[in-house]
Amino acid sequence: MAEEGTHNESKLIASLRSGSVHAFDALYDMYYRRIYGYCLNFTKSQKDTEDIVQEVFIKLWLNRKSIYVDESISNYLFSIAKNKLISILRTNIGSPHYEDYIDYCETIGTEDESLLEYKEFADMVERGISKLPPMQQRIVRLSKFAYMSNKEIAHLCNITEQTVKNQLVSGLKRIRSYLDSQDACFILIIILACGLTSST
Amino acid sequence: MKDLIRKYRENKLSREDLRILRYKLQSVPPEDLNKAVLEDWENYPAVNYDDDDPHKEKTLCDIHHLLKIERKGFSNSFRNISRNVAAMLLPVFMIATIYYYTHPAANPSFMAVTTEKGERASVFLPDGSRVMLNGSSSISYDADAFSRGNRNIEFSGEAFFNITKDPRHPFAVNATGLKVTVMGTKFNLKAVRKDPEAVLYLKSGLVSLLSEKSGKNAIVHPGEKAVLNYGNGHISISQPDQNENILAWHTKKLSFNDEDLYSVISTIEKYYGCKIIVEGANIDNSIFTGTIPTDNLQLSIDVIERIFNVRLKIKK
Repeated sequence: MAEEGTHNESKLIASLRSGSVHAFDALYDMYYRRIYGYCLNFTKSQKDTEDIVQEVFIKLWLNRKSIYVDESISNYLFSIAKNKLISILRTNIGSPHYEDYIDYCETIGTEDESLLEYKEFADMVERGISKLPPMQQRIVRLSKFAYMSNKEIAHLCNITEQTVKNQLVSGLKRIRSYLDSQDACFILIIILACGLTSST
Repeated sequence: MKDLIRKYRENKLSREDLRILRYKLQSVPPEDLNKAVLEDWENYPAVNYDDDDPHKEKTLCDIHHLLKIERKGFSNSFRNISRNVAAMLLPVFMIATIYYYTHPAANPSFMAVTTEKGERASVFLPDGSRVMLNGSSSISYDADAFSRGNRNIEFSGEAFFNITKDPRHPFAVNATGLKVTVMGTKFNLKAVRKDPEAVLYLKSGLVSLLSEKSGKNAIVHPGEKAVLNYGNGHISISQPDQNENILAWHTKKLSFNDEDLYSVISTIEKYYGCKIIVEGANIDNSIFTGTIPTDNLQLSIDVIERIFNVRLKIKK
């Protein structure tokens, strides 16, 4: 592996500015892993990471003439990806699925190889929910995504609170068995307990 | 703040951390957030592995291919080549069509799918790629040539493309006046002969859009929208407004980002073709970020009523 002395890197940057493909490849070689690893951690999605990494290096080449750093492109590369990363951060954090994902990670342990990446996890939960019969699905969604209390759901759907509770329990069971059938975590027991543990 | 970012990155957030982070994302000024993330990046170590990552090589190849970088250096030859190729494609297509129409049995490997207005169709190509056609659209290709690696299709109308990655055989969509070259991507293309312009929206991957009229080539990145003006052959690239919902016809989901009640309602009205009346004066000044379905009006209304603490009435 080439040594990454800043002296070497600033030479590469200068070469890159004048259009050297060889310099481009060398910089790619230097930074690919770090950018990839960081983006993967941040986006929690392999697909998004691949897209961002490709974009970062393509832009590096396309904008080579106007690169304004001299010593190291580390932060420059990061700046290309930054907006996308932050946007994905907001989306991930904002989703109700993310709380479940936290519990999931805590239970399985972040070192476990079978840990699903967040997108896969969220998709799987979503699939489980969409397989529920319509009434049950509506109640689960109102509880989970609209953060309604059992009482409010009962009022909206014109049913009793007990029915709401039963529907949530039953829905939960269904989702859990769906996830089991997908070889996924049974841990979700904890999760969709939205409406069940809340005392409202 | 940067500790929270690091914890997020390492999947070590607790529920309480999540609550705090959510709050901070709403309340801190963007410069602070930018700074925190930059610091996190700076603290992220570079690790050197001795083993070779095949993915790394492949991605570099993809990049070279997309930029058409030749070992000798990046030159204008790319433009000339593609202009000639584009010019050659049109007559070839015309010949193929005429041949097909006069000798329908003679070319059994010619495949075409057309949808009527309001119809949808899903086409699977020999390489596993999938094209989801919206109404009044058509796609055609030579199945033999395609299977042999010549991944070219003719297209008109609107469709969502999900293309299998194969860097050795770039996938090309030919439509009136334009050509889209892709590697492995997902994008929405609307190219109707009668429209004044063609619109391509890229969901993921990377595409190269060629305008035959101007000979100019543009690279489109995920999340970008490219508009090709048929009149002058000019291509312009922009970031669509989050709420343009270009893919809503296909994903059956409407997404909103920081939208207020009236904005959300007007989008719902547009998609469901109904009128919604807001009852009550005590309206939350909340803003909504999330998605609602395009095929379940009642559920959409439920969610909106709850989020904005308001009662809605539907008038069909």
